Amino acid sequence: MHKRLERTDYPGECMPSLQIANLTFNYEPGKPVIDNLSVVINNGETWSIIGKNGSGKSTLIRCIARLEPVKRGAVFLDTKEILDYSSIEMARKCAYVPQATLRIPPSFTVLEYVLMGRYPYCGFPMRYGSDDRKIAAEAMELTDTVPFAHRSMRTLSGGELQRVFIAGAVAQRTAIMLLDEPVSFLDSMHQEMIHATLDRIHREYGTTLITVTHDINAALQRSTHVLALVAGKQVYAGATQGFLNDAASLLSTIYGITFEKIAGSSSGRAFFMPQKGEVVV
Amino acid sequence: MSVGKRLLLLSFSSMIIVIFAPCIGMEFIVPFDLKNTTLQMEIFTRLRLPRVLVAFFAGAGLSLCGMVFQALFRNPLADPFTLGIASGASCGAALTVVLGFTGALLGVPAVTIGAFLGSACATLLLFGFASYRRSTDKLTFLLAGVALSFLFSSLLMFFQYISDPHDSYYIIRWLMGGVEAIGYKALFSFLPFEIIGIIIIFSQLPQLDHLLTGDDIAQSRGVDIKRTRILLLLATTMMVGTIVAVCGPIGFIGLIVPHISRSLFSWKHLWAGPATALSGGVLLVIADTIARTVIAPTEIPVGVITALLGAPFFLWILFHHNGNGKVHEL
Repeated sequence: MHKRLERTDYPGECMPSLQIANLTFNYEPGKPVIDNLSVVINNGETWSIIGKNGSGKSTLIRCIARLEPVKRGAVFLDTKEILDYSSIEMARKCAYVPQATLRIPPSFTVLEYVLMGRYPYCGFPMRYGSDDRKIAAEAMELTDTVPFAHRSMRTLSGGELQRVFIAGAVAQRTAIMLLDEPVSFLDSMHQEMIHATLDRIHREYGTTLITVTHDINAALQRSTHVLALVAGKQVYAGATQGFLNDAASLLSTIYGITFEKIAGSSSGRAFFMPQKGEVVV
Repeated sequence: MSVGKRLLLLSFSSMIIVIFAPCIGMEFIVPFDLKNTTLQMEIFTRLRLPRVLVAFFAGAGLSLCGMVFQALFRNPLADPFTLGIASGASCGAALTVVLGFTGALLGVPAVTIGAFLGSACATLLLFGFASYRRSTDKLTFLLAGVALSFLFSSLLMFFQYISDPHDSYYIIRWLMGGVEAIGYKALFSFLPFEIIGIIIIFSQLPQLDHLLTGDDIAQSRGVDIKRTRILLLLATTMMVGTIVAVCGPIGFIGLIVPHISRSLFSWKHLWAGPATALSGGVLLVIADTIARTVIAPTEIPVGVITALLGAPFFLWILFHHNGNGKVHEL
């Protein structure tokens, strides 16, 4: 029932949708949070961005979402620099899901909030049409948020709230979705639900998912590509399989601790457990 | 009852109140009654009617400005008064009086221009400071506004102190807030600015909803928050300045009416906006009607009545209507 959007009908596979070229970003002069980063992200890939706290992961996706002013380097979206898009055009191409658990939600009902995701498609005088309502309903179905459609967002639990924030982004119908730690602070069941939701979004719409995460195993099990940051510099950017070939040493570079490889998960990919003991770096 | 029906009911009752308010006074005057004397008609059309209209539009404008500031700062305490913008306007108006500027420029009275310059000065100081420091923390911003408010209040006291007794009394009386400014001149000195302001605010109502979800979400959904913010600040500065010049700083309305309308109507600004404007206008009309009748022929400053009337009602809404008492959290 979910139709694929036009944008996936590119002539060839793997049309680059996002290209980050020599991006350098700093809040304070002389202290780059992101240091000369270059990545090409193709349509329909799922990327996990991993790294220690403060390594620039969140800042990177905020730069891509144009929430931080990029001054050095550039981010290209469908071959056009993001600065050249209008706010509305940008919102039609790229959705951003912030860390839901860290904020006080607005007092809107879930349905009201999800409908607001249709903002970039409503001209003046900003009435949400039947199409918008249909797309919002579809987004809520996809994210399992229908049962509490008419509840205030203030009354939801962390896991429910996160799914509502994702539903709002789905309603935006963008080719790219940026997520900032969508499963942090959630219990295993709700983490699994979020992952399932994201899988579904990827399957149904072919959305390019770019997720900041601290869950190494989820990242390595589920995403097609990995971007690893250490102090704003990329130490690995590419297919997950390539990362797995050298995972133990990469992970210790990234996190500064040693990891133990545990083979034989159901998906065939290995798991990594942080080891007790000395900090490497 | 659906929100739409409630809003319809509010508009209907506002209309009735605004029509009936000018009839009430020391003597009940029914307009268009053939038995009316010329004097009665004069009192009705030239004294009471403009006064009610001034009260309505001033109340509507101040409430809308309060609503806008609460959404802009996501803070239930933000309004043009707590942020020092009204103090700036008061200060500018007082300075005009003290310096003895009378006259008018392009039909706009000197006091109005003074008040507008004062409010603009406060807004520029506040946002200039914030953008210089690149501060995005809203609480810092709010505190800076409170500090500004005190600064302007002190300046105001200083102007008042050095002015002659006549001006000083005039300023004190004006500071108490009141809509007794006689005639249509007062109304037309702020109405055009107010209409422009209301149009700007109403054009940004959906964007205000988005601001309540947080700046980053709003921006990622295509809201040009910089533009929205500038437009809204421009509108509110203009409205606060011109209203304060006529009515004095009537503070309470801008703070409570938005909370009342959000809790009785909707959090969506498309509903809360008109509801806030209407109920703010009506509240000030009722307050002014009481102010000029309860111990007639003496008048009580309307600022006294708004708080006496509004505070208990607000407390009821706060603790009773929304059982959780969380109506104030934005």
